Amino acid sequence: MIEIDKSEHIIRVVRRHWFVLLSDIFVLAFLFAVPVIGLFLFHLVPMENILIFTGNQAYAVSFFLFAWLFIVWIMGWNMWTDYYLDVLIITDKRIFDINQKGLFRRESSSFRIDKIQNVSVNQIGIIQTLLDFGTIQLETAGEREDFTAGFIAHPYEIKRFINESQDREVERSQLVHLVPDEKDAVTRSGSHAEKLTGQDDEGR
Amino acid sequence: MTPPAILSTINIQIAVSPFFLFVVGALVIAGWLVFTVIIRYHWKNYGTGGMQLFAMNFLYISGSAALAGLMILSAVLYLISAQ
Repeated sequence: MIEIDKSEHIIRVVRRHWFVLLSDIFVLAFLFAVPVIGLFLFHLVPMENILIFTGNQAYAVSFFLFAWLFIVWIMGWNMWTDYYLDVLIITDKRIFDINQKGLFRRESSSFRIDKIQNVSVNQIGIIQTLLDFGTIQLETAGEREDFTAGFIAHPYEIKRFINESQDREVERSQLVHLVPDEKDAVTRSGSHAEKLTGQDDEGR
Repeated sequence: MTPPAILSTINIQIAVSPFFLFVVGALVIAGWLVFTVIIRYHWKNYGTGGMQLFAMNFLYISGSAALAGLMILSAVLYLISAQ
């Protein structure tokens, strides 16, 4: 359901660098460790006074452990989906910026590739340089705000790719503009010839 | 008075019956089902790349089945041990 025309083709999908997932990974690692902390507390606090097990306690503990891991697993997939659907789609005509924020908030904006006036890349700091990610800024013609995408992997390569795509699109649009002119010229010369022929006929 | 000592004085008792485990398990699985419908809709409609989506679906379903299976198995074993 990405709003792409039928004549349009996706030529590249750009995702953010895995570094943005690092904070999510830390959160998941902590949540994963919660049962260990829970088991420690279980020994610290006299839980046998509070919880009354009617069956084998080990099975009940393993049930809660797997239930918790199942919840953490779901949370992990939620984080992954958020990352996976946050993309920059480059087609042969336009660039789409899709921002997925949670499961029920999605922002999508697009602009024509031939309207780009300048592509700039910012890589700040040792981490961005070593891991090769940064911010791409696209300046477009018109009153529209500049487009900025952060944490993009291999930004210089993407910049080169956008520039090449833009060159191709500009060349193509120039060709499209040339063709009708040529047609007009042919039509005009044809009608002129007819006129001349008519004049010839009248002259005879 | 240390916190565990305070807790030992509290007179709250929760019975962890097999029924309680099955109710908790059913709630978790119901939540998973709702979440699965939502994220698979997102993957199907907004995802890009067929093979990647297939791998994601496979990993998600197989991992979920394993965890749900272990959870249910634990509940069943608890039920058997309670009888």
